[in-house]
Amino acid sequence: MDVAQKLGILSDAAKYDASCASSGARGRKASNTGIGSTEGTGICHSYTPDGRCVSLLKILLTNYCIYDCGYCINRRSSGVQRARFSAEEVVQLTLDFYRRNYIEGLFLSSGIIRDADYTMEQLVRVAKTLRTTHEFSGYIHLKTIPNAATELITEAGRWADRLSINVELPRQKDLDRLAPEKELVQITRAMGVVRDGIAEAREDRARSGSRSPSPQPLAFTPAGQATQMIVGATDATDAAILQTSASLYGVQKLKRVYYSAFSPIPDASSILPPSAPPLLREHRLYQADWLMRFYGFAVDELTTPTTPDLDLDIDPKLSWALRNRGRFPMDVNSVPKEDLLRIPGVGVRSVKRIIAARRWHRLRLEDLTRLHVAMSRAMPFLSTADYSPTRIGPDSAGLMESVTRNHQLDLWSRPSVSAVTGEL
Amino acid sequence: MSGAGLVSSSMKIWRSSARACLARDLNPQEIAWDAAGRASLIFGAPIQGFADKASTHTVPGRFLAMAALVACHRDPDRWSLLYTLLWRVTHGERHALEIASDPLVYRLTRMHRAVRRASHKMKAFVRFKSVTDSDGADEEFVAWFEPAHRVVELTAPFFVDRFRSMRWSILTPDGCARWDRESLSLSPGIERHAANVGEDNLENLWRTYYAGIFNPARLNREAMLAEMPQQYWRNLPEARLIRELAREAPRRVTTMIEQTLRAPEPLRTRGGSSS
Repeated sequence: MDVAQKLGILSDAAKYDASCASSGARGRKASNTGIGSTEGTGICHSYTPDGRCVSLLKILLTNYCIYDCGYCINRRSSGVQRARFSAEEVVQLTLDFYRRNYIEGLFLSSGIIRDADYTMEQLVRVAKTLRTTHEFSGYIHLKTIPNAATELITEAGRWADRLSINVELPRQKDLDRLAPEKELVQITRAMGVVRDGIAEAREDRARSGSRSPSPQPLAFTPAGQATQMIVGATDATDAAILQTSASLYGVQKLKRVYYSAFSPIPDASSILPPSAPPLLREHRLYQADWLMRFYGFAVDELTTPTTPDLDLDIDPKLSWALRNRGRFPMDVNSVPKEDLLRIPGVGVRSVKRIIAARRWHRLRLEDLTRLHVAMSRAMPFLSTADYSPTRIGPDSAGLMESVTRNHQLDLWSRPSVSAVTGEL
Repeated sequence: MSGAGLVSSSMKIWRSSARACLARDLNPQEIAWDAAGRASLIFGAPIQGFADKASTHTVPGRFLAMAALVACHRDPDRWSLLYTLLWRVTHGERHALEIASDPLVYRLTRMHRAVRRASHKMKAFVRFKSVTDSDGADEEFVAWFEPAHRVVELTAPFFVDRFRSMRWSILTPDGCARWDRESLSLSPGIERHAANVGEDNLENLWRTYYAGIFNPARLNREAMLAEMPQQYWRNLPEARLIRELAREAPRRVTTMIEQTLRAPEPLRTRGGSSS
């Protein structure tokens, strides 16, 4: 089998991992004899017709796998065609693509072959060869194999910008059903190893000080760790998914949780829903995720015991606002930042602009349009120097219907690239 | 076209012209700006040679940072818009830039963002082709690119930092950048046919990857177009696959769903065999 055939199989096998981000790395430039650089934000070098970014060469080292996870195209019992790259082939492909400016770097994952340690060793070898033999300073994201030895995970962290371990499903009982070989405790143990490695490297750097004559200690996964959860393959509610996310951000200090609408795969197991991926639900989870990370919302504000799933018709911030009408309208010329962040249709960047501008000038409605506020969603909930809404307060009949109608128009008139947009 | 010169040189021209205008206390309505950023009185003589009579005004760093990028915009009004804002900033509205909803600030901010985006898209969408001499030695990388704004000079240092050990050239209609592993040189723009960059053998492999990573169950053409506008497609080797991939996607999804419906339920036990 030649490299092109392997590439066809092993990129197809890797596409169900939502993450392709090359962000979060600290600035780094190529040495005189090497190639590769990173900037904080990462670059998407192309987009496929699914609207998703192509930033990294995202491939599996092999799609042979001893596990049998029901949702996975590469599970042992799947009839999919198998292939395996050598470490050298992956290194060469990465360099060839990188030199032509097709990619930001490599995202390497693998099916589990032989055992966890053997597989992890293979991944580490590719990263190490790129960094040491080829002086490659581009982005490297490695998948961590949950049961791999601590020393191997630690070594991976020395060469990679980002490590990720997919929890895949939010509860052990979901894993029991679909991924019988996987255990949440093993996954969180591996995350803990990475978290502690990052913390230790940070302390070392702080101790050595910026004026230390000795070289800086090696960075350890400078872009942090990430994970992915599959949405819609089991009956887990959005509340359960978001609780798991909150704990991953809080306890494991993850940089990103990706949500991946379960999508039909060739030769799928019949224990899975044979349907189109729940893309709108995935989009709402991303919105809720952004609200937790950047807008100060807690999980129990976004879902309630009686409505454990996010509303599909309206975004989660608007949904919260309708449940808390008594807190509105808010005067954009006077309320503090935390309150501005709660107004539907007012994003983080708009809040920043509002706060800067209102020091000099009392804001009117026309100002808000130019500050990128989504007016149709925002207007029932705010007041300005020249406007106050008529229909607000606990008894505002008809409000729900009117904002829902406007909002649906908004939603479908604009493409949504869930993983990257965060203005709500 | 060529001869328009590289952007930051016209930014330098504009800066010295603007200083001269401020020193003479010329209000924005009295000045006409040419494409290169030179000022003259409306119906009058060019304004120049005021280097000795330096303006006493100081300007926020933020204004200069924004102006440096707006200068790369293709809008012919950019010089007069910048001067109008400069005039306000130096005449009692030092804080003007902080009011993002001010119509002039809003317009300039949009131009600033358009240039930043054009520079970002250049970092993303330049595609180098490997060119070697007959013995296969002395590899060099060449790209033809058509930026949305005049961002070649602004963006070239990024390519130096990234591809330091390669020899490369980026050719565009606005200007060309060349790195010989030691220094960066800039030269006037050329036309597409003069660039004459051929195919690279790796492009087939790249297209294989692009087709493989596409998930037909998530087809979303609008989201793709928002981030990769069609104006860039003709210089992207992978773009020729887009139409076919999009057209075939619904059929591939239907096939997968039908297969799943037909599949027998496997026996599953935790940790045990299930095949």
